Amino acid sequence: MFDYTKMEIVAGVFVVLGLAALGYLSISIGGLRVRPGKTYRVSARFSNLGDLKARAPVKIAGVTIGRVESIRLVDYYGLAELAIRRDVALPKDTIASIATAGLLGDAHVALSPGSAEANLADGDRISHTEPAVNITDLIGRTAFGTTGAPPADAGVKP
Amino acid sequence: MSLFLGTTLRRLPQRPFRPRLALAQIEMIGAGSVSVVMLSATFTGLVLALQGYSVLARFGSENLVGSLVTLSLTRELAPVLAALMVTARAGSAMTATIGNMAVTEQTDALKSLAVDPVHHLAVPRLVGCVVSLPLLTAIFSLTGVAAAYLFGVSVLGLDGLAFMSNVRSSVEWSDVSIGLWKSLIFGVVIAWIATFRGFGTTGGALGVGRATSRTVVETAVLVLCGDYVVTALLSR
Repeated sequence: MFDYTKMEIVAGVFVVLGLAALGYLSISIGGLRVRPGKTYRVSARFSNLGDLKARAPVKIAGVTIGRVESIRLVDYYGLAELAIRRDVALPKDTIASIATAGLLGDAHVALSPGSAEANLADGDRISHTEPAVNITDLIGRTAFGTTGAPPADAGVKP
Repeated sequence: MSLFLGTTLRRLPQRPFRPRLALAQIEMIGAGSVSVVMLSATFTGLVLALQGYSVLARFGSENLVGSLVTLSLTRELAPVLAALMVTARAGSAMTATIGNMAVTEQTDALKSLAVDPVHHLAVPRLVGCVVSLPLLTAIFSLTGVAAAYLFGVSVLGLDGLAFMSNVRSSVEWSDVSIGLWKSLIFGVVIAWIATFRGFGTTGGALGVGRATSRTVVETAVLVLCGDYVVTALLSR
């Protein structure tokens, strides 16, 4: 039964090794999803997406619960399709905002769940969104006080 | 020439299948090339990391070294360099083997035994190449990235976690799949040229040498041109 020749064993080991490398490359690095369908999609329309890119994480309270599937322009608004894990229910009045990790880090979508009874279903759109904060704009405003009064301790200290 | 590829492809589904012959080719082409592929991948990864670092450091974005290395490996360098290595190692051997058989009239002997030489010699080599090259390409990419990671963390002083998260967030499935498509195409090209030149060998020992060097040159040129064509077509 087990009378394989050395050639067959070497070829088999090579194929297994190669498939393992291929799998790791595709799934872990390439981000291929083997089992789709464990997520549902909602969309959110932002007036400014900032640095948000496809595959960016979607977080609630800092915990990643999904990712941005695609980004496109609809009526001069940035429309982000979000894939959310099935076990996370989002109330209808959830607020989506674009946040950055740290001051200049990568952008992600932060969701703040509301308190509505009904939940968002597959294909729904999040109606409350907050656009990305433009850091450069913010610094300009704080430093030169062009709009509103900056907080007392704002500005560059020596 | 394309007629020959057509003949090989037509013989592909014909019985009897010879899995043992194909397996022997996978062992020869694939498993035999692993060491040379890993060696060249290691140094490719090291050069990319070093070169990428020296350029990116000028812009203060050293952490992008990981993305640079991984993207260039998976999309371009791994399929091309793995194909060139297989050409040099296995493609030349295929032509020499078949060429020698053609010169010494062993292919005619196969015919007189009612064994189709294309079915017996070319088809297993085509299967072996097409199976082996994507696997070798994946091994090439991973080895290169691993070498760049180790080098970046230990010598260049990059942060390992930032390196890997950068790699994960910048590389997409399309980048991996474009490399795999290329390696499949290159696998067909290598087997096609090598077996075609083998069967067409005439002129004794001298002819075998000539056919082998033609195989290596033609395959290398086709791989490099084909790489451009596939990139231009697929990266729209």
